[in-house]
Amino acid sequence: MATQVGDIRAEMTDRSNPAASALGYVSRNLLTILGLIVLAWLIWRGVSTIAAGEYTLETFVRQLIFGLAQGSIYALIALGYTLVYGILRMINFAHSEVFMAGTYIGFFFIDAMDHSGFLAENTAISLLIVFAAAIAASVLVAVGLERIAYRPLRNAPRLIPLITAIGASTFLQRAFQGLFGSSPRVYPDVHFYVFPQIFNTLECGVAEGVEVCRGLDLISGRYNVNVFGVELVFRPIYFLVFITAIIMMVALTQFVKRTKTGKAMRAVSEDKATAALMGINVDRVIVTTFVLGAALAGVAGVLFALYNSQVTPTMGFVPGIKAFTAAVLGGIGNISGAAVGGLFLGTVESVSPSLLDIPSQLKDVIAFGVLVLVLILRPSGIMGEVLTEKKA
Amino acid sequence: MNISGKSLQTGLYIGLVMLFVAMIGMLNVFSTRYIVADTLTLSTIMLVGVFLATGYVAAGQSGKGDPAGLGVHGALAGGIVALILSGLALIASQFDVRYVFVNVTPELATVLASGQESLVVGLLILVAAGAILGALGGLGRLLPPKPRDIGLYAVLMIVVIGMLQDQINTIIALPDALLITGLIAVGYGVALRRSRDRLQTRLLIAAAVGAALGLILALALIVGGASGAGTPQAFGGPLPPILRSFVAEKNAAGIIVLLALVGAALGVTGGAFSAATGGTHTGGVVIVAALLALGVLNSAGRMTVPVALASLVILIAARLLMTRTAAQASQAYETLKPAERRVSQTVITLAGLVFVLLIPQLLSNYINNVLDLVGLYVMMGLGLNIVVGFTGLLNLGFAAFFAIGAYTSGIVTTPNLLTCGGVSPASIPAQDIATVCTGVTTFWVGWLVAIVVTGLSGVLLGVPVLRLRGDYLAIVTLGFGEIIRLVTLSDTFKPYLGGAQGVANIPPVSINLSGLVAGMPPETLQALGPLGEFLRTPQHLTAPNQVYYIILIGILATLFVSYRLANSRLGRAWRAIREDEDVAQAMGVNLVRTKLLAMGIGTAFCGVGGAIFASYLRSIFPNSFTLLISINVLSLIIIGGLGSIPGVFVGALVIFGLPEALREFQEYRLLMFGALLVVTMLLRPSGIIPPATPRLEEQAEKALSQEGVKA
Repeated sequence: MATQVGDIRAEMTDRSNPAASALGYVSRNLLTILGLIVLAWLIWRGVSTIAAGEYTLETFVRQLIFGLAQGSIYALIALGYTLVYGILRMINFAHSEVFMAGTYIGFFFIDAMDHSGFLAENTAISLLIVFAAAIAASVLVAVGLERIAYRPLRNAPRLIPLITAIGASTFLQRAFQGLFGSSPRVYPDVHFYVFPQIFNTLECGVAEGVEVCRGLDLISGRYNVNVFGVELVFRPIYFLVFITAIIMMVALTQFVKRTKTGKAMRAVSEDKATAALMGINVDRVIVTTFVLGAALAGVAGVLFALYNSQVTPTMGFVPGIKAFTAAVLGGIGNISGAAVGGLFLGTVESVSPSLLDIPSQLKDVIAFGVLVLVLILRPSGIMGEVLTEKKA
Repeated sequence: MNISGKSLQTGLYIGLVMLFVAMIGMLNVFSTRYIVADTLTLSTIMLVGVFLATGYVAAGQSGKGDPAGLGVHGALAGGIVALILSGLALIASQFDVRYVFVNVTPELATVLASGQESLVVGLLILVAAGAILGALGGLGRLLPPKPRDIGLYAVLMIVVIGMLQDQINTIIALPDALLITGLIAVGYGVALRRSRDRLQTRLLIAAAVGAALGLILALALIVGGASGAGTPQAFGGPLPPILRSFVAEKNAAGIIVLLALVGAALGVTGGAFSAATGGTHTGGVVIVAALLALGVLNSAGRMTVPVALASLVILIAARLLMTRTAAQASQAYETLKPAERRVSQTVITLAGLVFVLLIPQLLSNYINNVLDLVGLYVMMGLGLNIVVGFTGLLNLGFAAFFAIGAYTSGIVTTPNLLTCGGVSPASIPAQDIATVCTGVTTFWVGWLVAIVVTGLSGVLLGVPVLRLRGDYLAIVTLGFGEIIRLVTLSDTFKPYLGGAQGVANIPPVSINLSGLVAGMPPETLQALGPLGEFLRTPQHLTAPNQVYYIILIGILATLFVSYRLANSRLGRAWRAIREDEDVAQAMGVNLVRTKLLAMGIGTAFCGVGGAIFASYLRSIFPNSFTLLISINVLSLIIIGGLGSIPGVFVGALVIFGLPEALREFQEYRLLMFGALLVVTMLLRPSGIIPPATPRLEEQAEKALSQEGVKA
């Protein structure tokens, strides 16, 4: 046996036969080479599209802004995945339903307020209430998941919690369908006017015989602007989503870095047993993690619905997968990585169809393709520590 | 007496669960389904069952042992559940919350109020029922386990049969069922009485007795004749089709031979079961009891109260018989010599084979269709069992390989861009298609091509993911599955793959043996009767009960491969990888080759099923291959038992077969499915049938335990 191993090792490091070592090098790194070839092909396609003049700066800026907004949503959801993975080393497959729950329950609140007229009169407070309701719903679902489905299985082999998560995800989707019906619910148009003094030429109309300019409509407004010679249709909601996401992520990072609970979270994620020995209430930390992730997902849900309008029980699946891709892209377990990953994925997804001349039907393929490429070329992600062990 | 808080808590939890069940509309749907005709609906049975179960569990939680304590706790818990439901009913009747909760309708209130005119009266009945049944459930704890289990099992079986009653359209009429049971029982008894003889002698005597009885029956039939021109009746029921033609032609010899043969066969079967392993014996009793119960059901057409009671009696008797005689039979089996054992096993296997071959002819088209789909899932399950169960490579995109198999077979057997040499079939006039599209082949070639292509694609997928571990692997495979689905759906590949319209006009499986009999004179063929007909004309397997046989062949092939590999060096290498990759590698297992082999073989099984699927459905669409199917297959092997081959069958029946057969569950299938996954993982992660230890390990353990471990 020893001789055999010795032989193999000798063969692998045999530099005397140049053909063998070259072939060996290629076959060992075949995947990386293939991945780089695919990447190069994509870049070439992009360059040729630009060169052919089919892709203008205007398109780019427009898609970039939309991509950043979409990416912010992905980032917020990705944070939920990455937090739970960091603490429990498991993918919370049902996080997409946590996201959906927030949006769905938020709908009932905003719908009620719209019908009663409260929404139009006190938009700011209404929005706060909707956010609060969505966050509450998401948190409830997440905590329920943790207590019922995940906590008993904390020490089980990895396959079992994953299956449980899949089962929980299916169950939640259908439960919402059964309770609330499967027809899409539509968020009402929300008009949130701000800064009438500054934007005194916007949203002008006649009310009670007087001309009133209500200012910038943050949620539903669309304005034609000219930025550095580029004609754009500017939707403040995208901007709002982006800013909100950035604020939340900065807040989360500071929370994890500076507060006692944050430190406890980091400790538990490093070594559960030792953290418990140090007097940390591991259960409570885990629940807090789920709560944080869920709250972010709830916020993301409302923001998503504000510019997407439609809400269904199965809406969580696709954003969930993309958010997971984003989390992996940025380095799973890494908070800023999730943010970067989300924004990157959103932008790529938005810009690629036109730039690389890929039919829009295959748009989702881009996200999956990115996932596969990342996992092949750099499993630890853009900013991640190597949490995975490479085998074979 | 102090009231235990735990039992109240149980009542609360169960009450909340029932609240949820009611709010999603399940009770509404169930209330339309009559299990016992015109008397008991599924919703009533559900409520009764839940109250009893609540009482049982709560009484157990209370820690009391005396009847009073058990009864009170049971009643309290049951009452709480009923109260919660009553609250819902009141809300449903007073307020219209349907904008939010679409299924909380006034009808729900009526159902909960047991259909009474006055809501208050109905709800009072509900609460009273909850309390009383809860108390009974609590008292049920006092029953010794055996009668309790038997009673539970019998009632459960009645409910299942009741739910299936519309689907089960057997040709087994009551007289037939009685005859079959009787002949088997006679064979059983005869063999039992002569237990001192060799098994072969016993079986021969049983066969003789059976044949004699068959002869008597035949004579009775010939002498008495059959009445009724359309569907000949005899012995109080319609004749099986095989007999009908013989009776019509007054073919006395045919009748005698047939019935004698059948009598002998059944006698031998009965005899073999008298000395069989416990498991086989139980299986046999279950099947015979089921046949009898179905015969009873068939006599009335629906499950009426008398039928339900009769079936209950039959099932309880069967269960008692099972427990008493199973020990006897396995004891007899132990005393058999190896040669005799082989004989017994051969007989039983043959009987089982005949049974499996005959089943589709006895059931309705609907259930046959279900069985066929279950069979396809079994093939996929066996493949995934190799990938996930044996090797531990989590794969969430398995439906994609099924799709590849189906599309490959579909494309190769129909005229399209590929098979017509690059020319679009639409541009070729109909009469020239055969000559231009030389690539079009028969199902059988397509089947082989599909298997190879699917296996290769599995290997191709395996290469990039070799390094990945558990969760990542799952997500990447999910991504691949979705990519394949999107690609088949896209317009870019429409010329080749058909886009959203898929591939249509796929020819069915056809067996063309006319070449074999081309030289035979027509008289010979005529004499062979139906067999000659079968040989002469090309047979197209289109109906569910025909495709069944090709699926059976597929299953047998994949089963064989699975079993042989499981106990081979490769199988052990797979299991080693599953346990710990690093150790396996250190022990000399070539990880790359072994993993790729697992992927290749596992996906090839999908190809086997996919090709059959394409020819069965005659047209395939991208949306037949969704993520849901992948999850279905994964769940079925997990719930059946990861890594266990019988578990695949059980899992397929449970996850796919039962809900398909039970229409009412359609809407809630995924809901219960998700819940089932979670509950199974929490309570019994090894599945219904955990994998048996492979033979070598078993032998090693036995050897060690016999010698004692000598250091």
